[in-house]
Amino acid sequence: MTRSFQDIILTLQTYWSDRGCVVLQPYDTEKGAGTMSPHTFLRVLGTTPWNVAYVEPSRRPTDGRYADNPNRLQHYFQFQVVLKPSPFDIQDLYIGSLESLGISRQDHDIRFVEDNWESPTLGAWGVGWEVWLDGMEVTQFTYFQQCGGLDLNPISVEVTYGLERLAMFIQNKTSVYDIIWKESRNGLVTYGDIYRPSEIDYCHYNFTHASVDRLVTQFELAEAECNELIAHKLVSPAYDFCLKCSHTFNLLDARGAISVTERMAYILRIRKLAKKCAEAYLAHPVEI
Amino acid sequence: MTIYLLELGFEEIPARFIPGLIAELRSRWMDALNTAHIEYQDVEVVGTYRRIATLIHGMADESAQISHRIRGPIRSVAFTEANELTPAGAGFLRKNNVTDFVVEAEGDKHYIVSYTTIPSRPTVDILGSIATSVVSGISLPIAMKWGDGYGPFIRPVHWIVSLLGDRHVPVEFLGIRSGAMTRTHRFLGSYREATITSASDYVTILNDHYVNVLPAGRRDIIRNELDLNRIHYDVTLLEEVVFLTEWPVPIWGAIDSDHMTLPAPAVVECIQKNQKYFPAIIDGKLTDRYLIIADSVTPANEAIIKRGNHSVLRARLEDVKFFWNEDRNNSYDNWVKKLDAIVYQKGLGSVGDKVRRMMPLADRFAQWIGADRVDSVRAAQLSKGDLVSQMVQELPKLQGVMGGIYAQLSGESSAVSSAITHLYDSDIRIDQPVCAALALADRLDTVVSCFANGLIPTGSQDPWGVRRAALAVVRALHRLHIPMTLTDLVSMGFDGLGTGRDKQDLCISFMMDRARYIFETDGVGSDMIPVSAVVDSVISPHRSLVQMAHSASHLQSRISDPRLKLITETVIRVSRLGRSASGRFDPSRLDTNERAGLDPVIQWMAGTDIHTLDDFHVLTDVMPAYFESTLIMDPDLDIRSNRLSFLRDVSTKCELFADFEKLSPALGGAQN
Repeated sequence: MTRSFQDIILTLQTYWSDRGCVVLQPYDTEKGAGTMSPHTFLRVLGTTPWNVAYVEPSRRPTDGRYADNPNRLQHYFQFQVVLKPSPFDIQDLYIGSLESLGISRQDHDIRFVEDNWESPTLGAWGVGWEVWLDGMEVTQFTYFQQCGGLDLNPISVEVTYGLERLAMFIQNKTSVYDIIWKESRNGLVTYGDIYRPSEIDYCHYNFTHASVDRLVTQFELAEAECNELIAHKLVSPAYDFCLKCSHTFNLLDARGAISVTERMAYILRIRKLAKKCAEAYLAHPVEI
Repeated sequence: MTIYLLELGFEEIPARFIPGLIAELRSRWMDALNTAHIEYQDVEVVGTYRRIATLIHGMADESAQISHRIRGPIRSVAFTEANELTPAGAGFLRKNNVTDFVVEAEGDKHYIVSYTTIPSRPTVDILGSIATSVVSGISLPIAMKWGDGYGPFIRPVHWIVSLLGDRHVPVEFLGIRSGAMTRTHRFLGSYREATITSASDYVTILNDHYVNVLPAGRRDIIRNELDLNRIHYDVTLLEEVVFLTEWPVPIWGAIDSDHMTLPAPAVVECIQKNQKYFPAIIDGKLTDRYLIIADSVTPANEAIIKRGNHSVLRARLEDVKFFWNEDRNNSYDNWVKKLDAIVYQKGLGSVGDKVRRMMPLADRFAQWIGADRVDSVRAAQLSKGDLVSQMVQELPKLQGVMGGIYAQLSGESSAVSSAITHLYDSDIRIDQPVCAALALADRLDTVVSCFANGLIPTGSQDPWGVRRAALAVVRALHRLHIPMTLTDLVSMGFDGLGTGRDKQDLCISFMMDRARYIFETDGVGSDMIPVSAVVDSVISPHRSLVQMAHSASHLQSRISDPRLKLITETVIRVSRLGRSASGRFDPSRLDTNERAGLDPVIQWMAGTDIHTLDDFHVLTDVMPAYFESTLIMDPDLDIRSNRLSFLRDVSTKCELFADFEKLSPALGGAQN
């Protein structure tokens, strides 16, 4: 029987839960990647150990293709694992997680190919690999070195599974929309059944109908809000508004409303917010 | 004589760093062994993405005993008259940590002398600390930390094997202690670890466990497959794949027929850059096959791996198809308009501005070259448009190549589209006039823009590739025999830019250095001296490359002609004296005899250009006798000044051909 999309999520949750991870739920603010969730961005700061796994819906407005392209989406899912400090056997743990999904190491060509990661908006970078499964990139593997412009110690490792890629691989599908989400009580439900209509709508919004003027205003409002909240040492809501700035910037980018010079200026503005949030968090880190 | 093995095992190190690491480790080991006076036959460093191993062959069992003779002060300083050590003598012994001494004669003096000996030590006793210092000093092209702050290294280090023969030599590095246990291939075989019983069996034991640790061995496997199929391959890709594998196995894949209609350069780029496969380019033509070099192949999984890779490539090519379709629905002119929104360089406007500067430059070059002017200007206008195409944004290396394809599709002439195609070729295509006019315009603008903007290359810092661009410009002008001076060339570039004039002279001399390099390497003058004599002449910025090349090769051909020596001596004498001149030369103020004697030279100065050394005969006929008969430094200051000014003018005329001072070393020195 084919493993469904939701089975894949459940299997990964169980696997990492069994290895001591807190399993959390998605964070409810739009963001470009699981890294941007406060469960990663803030928790990798400071010295408190932290082991977490969660699904994160991720939005990249410029990647939308009106559902015409079988591999590109402006909204997709990541499965994110963060282990702090990074365990020595993390590669084996990861390979074990693939095996829990029925991807046996004997059957495939698994490669760790250099891919260093940098997020200019978050002032974060790390080194690591993309994992190739018979040539398909299914996971991003990063040892975080800096976050919010601050050096990290201990070092966290982040393992990010591209759930759609993984599902297409496991289910042997050539289009993301054909992924079986679930053999439900009333028949087969595919990824396309659930997400194709909204994918197309969002493309029209991202590329054509998003109001540039209002987005610019929204950016400025969110930036002001973030700054004010930091002044009150309210890190969590402040960081929400930093994320809103980031997503608004991505929308402006998709609308083609940002020139190269403006682009750098926007990135710097967001980075400044992220750095302030990181510093404010470190002033009062959450202890467990 | 024993083999020493030091294997360092780690998480996957980026392939591009490994050749450098191997070379560095080898030289660090040789230095360390020489310093420790341990003899060896060879240091061999091998490895994969997961391990780097040093094998020191024929290692001596002990270090050589080393004796030093240390000479101290002379006897009268080191000893009192009573033959006791003075404080200076005692200090010498203390400083060198010795107690025994002798007095030895050197010539007619006697010195206090001490002999010290560094005793021989068993290699096994000192090897551990040598190994630790060798690996600790490896330079890190990229550094990371892991876990609780371990590191730094390129990737986390997991194990160390350190064996002298079959004997363990303890080494500790970044918290890892050595042993005899290595890791085998990550996925192949039944075992994950293996014991290295002896250093000499290392390669064989790993090979039994699916690790071909010798880069040359892996390279052969891949290259044989490529050669067997007559495939033209990218050498850089081959080197990368050699270090992306421990157990390379070739698998052939096939491109779907509907993707074979996509532009071949895009397909090739996708296959090579994204997937690290080898596209089957046979006799310059892309065929529908590609070679995957997989690392974990067994008879049972080969078909699965092949299918997986095929679907990945298929998805990538679907993306390319999407861009191709989107781009073809766009108009090239529309792209050109968008260039105004892309910054070229801060302070130098947009790419659109650069294009507008390139258009008149292309026109000027077209006139020099004899290229079609309309085509050249049109090519310049369109040349950067593909920057905003989706294909180039996705696959930046295809800039130019895609531009050419899209230009052709939108109905441009083949001269225009071909010029765009070859715009970024490392050598300017001089066989295609429009292509040359465009490439010259683009690169000249890049060079002057960077100079005007302060981005002048220094040392290894040249992010904009100004050196390469300048070299390409000068080389093309030279090969095309364009009779243009470097001053006019650079000035033309700055005219369009409208700023940075203060950098013009610097830019001209930068270009002149490229000319020097080209003359020396392009068969003009294999000897540096004739080239310097021409290039370093003060007049060279105002001479065309054609003239300079002519002078340099002429000098080269006459370098052993005795007349050249006479000419050189004469000119140097003239110019050294002429240096102190300040006034104007007035022939009417020479007395009649002197005037008559110098008249051939005065005529010669007013006459035509100097083309060959034969044009100097008048000078060697007249001047030596003139110097013989005339006191230049006449007590009458007016006469003296007029003579000096005359000599200066002669010298200036000579410099139109070459700087003769630079020639004298080739001729065994000139007399004053």
